[in-house]
Amino acid sequence: MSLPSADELEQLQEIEKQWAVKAMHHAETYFSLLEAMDGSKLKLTKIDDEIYVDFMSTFGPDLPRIDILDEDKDFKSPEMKEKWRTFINRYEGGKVADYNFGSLLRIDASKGYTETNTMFVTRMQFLTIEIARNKAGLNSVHCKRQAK
Amino acid sequence: MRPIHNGPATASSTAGRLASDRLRNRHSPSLFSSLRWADIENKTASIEEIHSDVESDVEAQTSSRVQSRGEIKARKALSKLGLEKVKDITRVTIRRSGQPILAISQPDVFKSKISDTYIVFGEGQAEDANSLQSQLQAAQDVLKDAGEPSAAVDAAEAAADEEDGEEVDETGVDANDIELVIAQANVSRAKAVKALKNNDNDIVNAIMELTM
Repeated sequence: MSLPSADELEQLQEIEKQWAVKAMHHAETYFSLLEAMDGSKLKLTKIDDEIYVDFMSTFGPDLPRIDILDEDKDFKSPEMKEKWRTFINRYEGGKVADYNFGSLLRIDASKGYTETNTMFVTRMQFLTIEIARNKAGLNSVHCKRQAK
Repeated sequence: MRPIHNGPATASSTAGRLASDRLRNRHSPSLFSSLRWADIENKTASIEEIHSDVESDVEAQTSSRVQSRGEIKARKALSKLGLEKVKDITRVTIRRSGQPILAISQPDVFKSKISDTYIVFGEGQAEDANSLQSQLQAAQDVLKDAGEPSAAVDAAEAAADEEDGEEVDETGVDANDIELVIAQANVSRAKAVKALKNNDNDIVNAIMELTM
């Protein structure tokens, strides 16, 4: 049985809205976690370290900048898209929950979720970048308990 | 449905206290004990007399039956809603289509002053519909409005208590994660542990589940 091709399908408004609600909820939950505790101590998955090492070795010299993301260069260019795809698909099949779910990622790690500071990625990309940021301590500035 | 164990135990343990407790026993919502009390009362005339003597006092009383924590809480909460105790109700039955009749003998019935809403405390027991047709007919008048068997209330309360108070198995869940979820989602420890287990220890997803 063949599935209809993507072009034949319409975007259902209701589903879009539901996704938006869930994605926002996820983003807000994550950010309030960052505010509640030091990001470098936060664990996002059970295999944070594995993902981090894999991220480093997969992208090697082309490693995306993680403090301020370059969407066009590191996410949307054909070569990088291909790299991301191979990388993401390695976590298919339950290793990471909702690995392919659309998520909101902050472009500048030092800022919060604002309209201009947000981009759309898969959950796996979100996790990878945020794990790397947490390990680099880039998210620690959001922790309110560390009064400066 | 409340398990049977409560019935006979209540009946036998209160038997010794018959003299002092006979009034209260009349209002015992426990079906099993009340069945027995009905027998005893029939044989003991003096008990009936005392009932009528102190009838006016009855509103202040609650049943002597051992009440579950949930029931006590529910009664307390309901007492603030301005409910009036309805006297002299001996039996409440609830009929559901296709299911046995749920009967509550000697219930404590409260009625809202402002609307036709009834709260019924007591232990329900399933009864065979056919053999009780006539009784049902009589009881149906009482039941025209919604009644709530405490069996259902108890069950719901018990479930809630379970979530609140019960020690949960935290194996495989990081204590720090639990604390974090409790603080972020503002829930009980049991709920936090459950959510973490549901979400494979994913903190963000666990909090999302609890705050959705």
